[in-house]
Amino acid sequence: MGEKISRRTFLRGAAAGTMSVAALTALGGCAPQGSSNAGSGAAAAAPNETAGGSYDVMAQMSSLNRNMTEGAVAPATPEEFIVKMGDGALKFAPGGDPLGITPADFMLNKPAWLGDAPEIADIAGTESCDILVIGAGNAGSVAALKAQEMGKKVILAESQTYDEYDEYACDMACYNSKIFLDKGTPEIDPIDIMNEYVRKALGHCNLKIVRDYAFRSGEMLDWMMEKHIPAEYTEKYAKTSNYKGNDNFSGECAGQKSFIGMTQWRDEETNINMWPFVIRSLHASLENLGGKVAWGYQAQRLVQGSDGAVTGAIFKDIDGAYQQIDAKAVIVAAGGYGGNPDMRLDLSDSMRNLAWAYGADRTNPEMIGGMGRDGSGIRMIMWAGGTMEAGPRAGMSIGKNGAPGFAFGGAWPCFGPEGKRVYNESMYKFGSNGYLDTFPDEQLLVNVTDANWETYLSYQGYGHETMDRSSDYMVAEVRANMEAYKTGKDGFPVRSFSRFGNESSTMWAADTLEELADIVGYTGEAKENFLAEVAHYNEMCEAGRDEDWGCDPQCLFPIKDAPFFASFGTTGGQPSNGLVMLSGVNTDDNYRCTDGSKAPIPGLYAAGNTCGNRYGIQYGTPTAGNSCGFALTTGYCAAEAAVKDLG
Amino acid sequence: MQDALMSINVPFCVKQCGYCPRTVVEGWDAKRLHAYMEAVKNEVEANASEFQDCRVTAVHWGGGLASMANAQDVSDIMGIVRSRFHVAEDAPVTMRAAIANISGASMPFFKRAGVTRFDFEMMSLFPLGYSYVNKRDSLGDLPVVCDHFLRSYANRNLGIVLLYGLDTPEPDNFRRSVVEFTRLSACHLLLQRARGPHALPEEQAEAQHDEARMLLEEAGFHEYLPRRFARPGEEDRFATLEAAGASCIGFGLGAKTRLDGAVSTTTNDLALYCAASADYAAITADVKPWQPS
Repeated sequence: MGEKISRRTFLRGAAAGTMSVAALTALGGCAPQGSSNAGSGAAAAAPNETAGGSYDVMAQMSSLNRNMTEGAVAPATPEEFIVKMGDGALKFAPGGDPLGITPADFMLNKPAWLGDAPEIADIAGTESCDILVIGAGNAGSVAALKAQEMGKKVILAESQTYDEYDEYACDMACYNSKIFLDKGTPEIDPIDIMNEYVRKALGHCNLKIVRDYAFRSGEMLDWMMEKHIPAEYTEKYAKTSNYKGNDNFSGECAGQKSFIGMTQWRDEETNINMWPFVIRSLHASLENLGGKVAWGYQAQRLVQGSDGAVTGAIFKDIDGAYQQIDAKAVIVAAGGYGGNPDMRLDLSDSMRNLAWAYGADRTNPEMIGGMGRDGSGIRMIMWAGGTMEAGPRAGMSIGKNGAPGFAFGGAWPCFGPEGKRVYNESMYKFGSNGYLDTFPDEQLLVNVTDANWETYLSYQGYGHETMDRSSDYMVAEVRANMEAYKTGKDGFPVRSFSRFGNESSTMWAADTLEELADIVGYTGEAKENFLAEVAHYNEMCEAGRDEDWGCDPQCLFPIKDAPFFASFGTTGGQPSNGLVMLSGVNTDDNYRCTDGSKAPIPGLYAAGNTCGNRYGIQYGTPTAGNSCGFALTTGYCAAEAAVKDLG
Repeated sequence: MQDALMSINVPFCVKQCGYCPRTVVEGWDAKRLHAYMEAVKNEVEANASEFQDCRVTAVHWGGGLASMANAQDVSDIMGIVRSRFHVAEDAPVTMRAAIANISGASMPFFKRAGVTRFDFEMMSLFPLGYSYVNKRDSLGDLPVVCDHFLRSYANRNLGIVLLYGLDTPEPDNFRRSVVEFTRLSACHLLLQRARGPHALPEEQAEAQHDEARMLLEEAGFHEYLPRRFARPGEEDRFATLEAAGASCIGFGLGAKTRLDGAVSTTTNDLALYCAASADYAAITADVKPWQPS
């Protein structure tokens, strides 16, 4: 074994032809490495293959009733069946326990993503407050400010630094806010709102939390804007979508209600979403009232007393030192878990099962998209004894295939690969695309309309599948782009049709339906079908009754006047949970996290996407922006609950 | 002080596509990937003192789908790079990425890492045919990622990778995909040539390349390197200097370091690399003389 040489000396030696890899063997005493193309083969030899905590349930289940019960005979008659089942219909089979697993293994086995709370001994500093809020997103920022305003000493801890801070929200739905009512928007009965959300959740939600949103979100928005957001920001950036109401919308479509209430905060000149800046007004207000924001504090674990009560949390600051904040109550508003692939794979059961049903790789979390936070808030709460909301758990979108033409839901008919309509356009709302998931991949879907496109859109409601009318300048741009349409296969861009400000959508135009069919790609029989289907559809529009698919009569508009327009879509693609996961930890009616016996854990509250049971089994958008509005309102109400409990 | 590029390899991908020629470690394993990033961290730290005469002018994360790495690990490594190396203030940090890896959990750390541009391997932007070439991302998520995380309508941090030269049922889809690209606010496009059994013959692939060039030039882009297009002034510094034969310090599995008249290649053996990344002698697989341009 020779003496080691530096890397640079080695490189210079190689350049001079006096050094080789073989020489490294002698000099460095390490095994020589041939020029390797191990590539994926290297994966087999990789260290740290995931094993700990993983549990192959499917392997266990595969043994169930798979020729493993000796003497099993199928019943030949109903009587035999009754006799066999009569000794206990819940048993697998007489004398058998083929799985050999217990509920603790199957349902309660600790998932790999949960891990254990870190043991931390070297606390560099400790401070205290009445209420500690973890996470300065939408819910946490509101919770901290509200609690401070109510007289408590608050610390708001945020993992990002002040300079690096960013936050995401776009549409913000809050009901009966003055910003709408003062413009003449009709007041909405909050009972209608509450019941619509509960109906969409099929009852799998916390009714009190939904009630808070329906009844108090407007109050919360007014409180922010009147007391804490500078008036100049509101005046300049707060855009109220459809505040006058869409001219022809009846309030309900295909049995689903829809409500006015969405605000976007955008700068008209640049189209920048301003909310991530405007929300800093809440932090400034918190500090003006005597509260504190602990920037760069990344939560590691909660602190609990011997009685299980949560009494604070431990953070890692940006220098890597551990800081403890003691508190009489802790509100965790650290977001959801959409950005944690391992948690997504385990907890995003609706989307996961959908993906698996159609052959997705079961070990690949990327097969189930998600964009939210890292799930650390949920993990901390579960380490403290909290529980996760039961499934099926909702993501922001549920479905592999989105209906094409995000902005055109209900108003423009949709034609499939054979040139025929394929579903009820008025029923397929954002977040309810299950039927489309049964279609094979790569099937053409085309929304078609005509010169009366805008009139038809005036019958839309206020959900995510509708045209964005949050700013007059956006509507004006859509009109200008549509008027300047170009025919041909390349289509033409239209800005602002859908959400996200000035995002460009591509539309295709033609002077005749025949030409449009060619552009779309309908040939032969499909083209004949398309032209015949349009004629048939127009007849149904005339009759006001769609016996093919049941489209709501108020959405039946004939395609008759040139120019004709189309928007492409396709089936297939990857299932995505969208921006956030909408499931979180269990709480009681007052946002107190509950343990396995459904008892509240003293001192521990959840808000925002950390808080579960808001949407139950599925997301829906009676108003675009309800996720953000919901998060803000849970922060507002959780703060009130915590202050009340502290007395 | 001499100028040098820095490349950091993350040669991982959950599932390699049939048209992709890269050598990657496949499969999802967060622990394994974290262990790898720890090894990269060790290699960077162990070798920092060796390159004190170098000024890093651009950093590139690639070798695979680099955004798969835990973003906090990326941030930690960039923190070490900035504190232990001489990094030019205006050094761009680019990353081969997937929109599937961009989230509220990862983006704060990618920002902290100072990533200046993501090159998203979308492969197509046209709905029809998209799922033939992209089995990972939801096309509908692209505007959401842009508006909520990248703010790309205002910033110059969006690049796109599109696939060309693939035999698909509808040849028009490639053209339409390029047209869609010109309607984004993206500043950078890389055309990646499809390989494998479904690749088009060279002549047909080049015809697609030519058509893309025409469409992109009409939209104000220019081809500053073969298959690399940018708006004027947005050319990729790393790619430009690398093509010109600049010195480069490479870290990670399979990385190449070109410096001092030699090019050394790091092992592709993941287990060996993770076990001994701080020992350059153990992980160096090949070395030969190299003539800088």
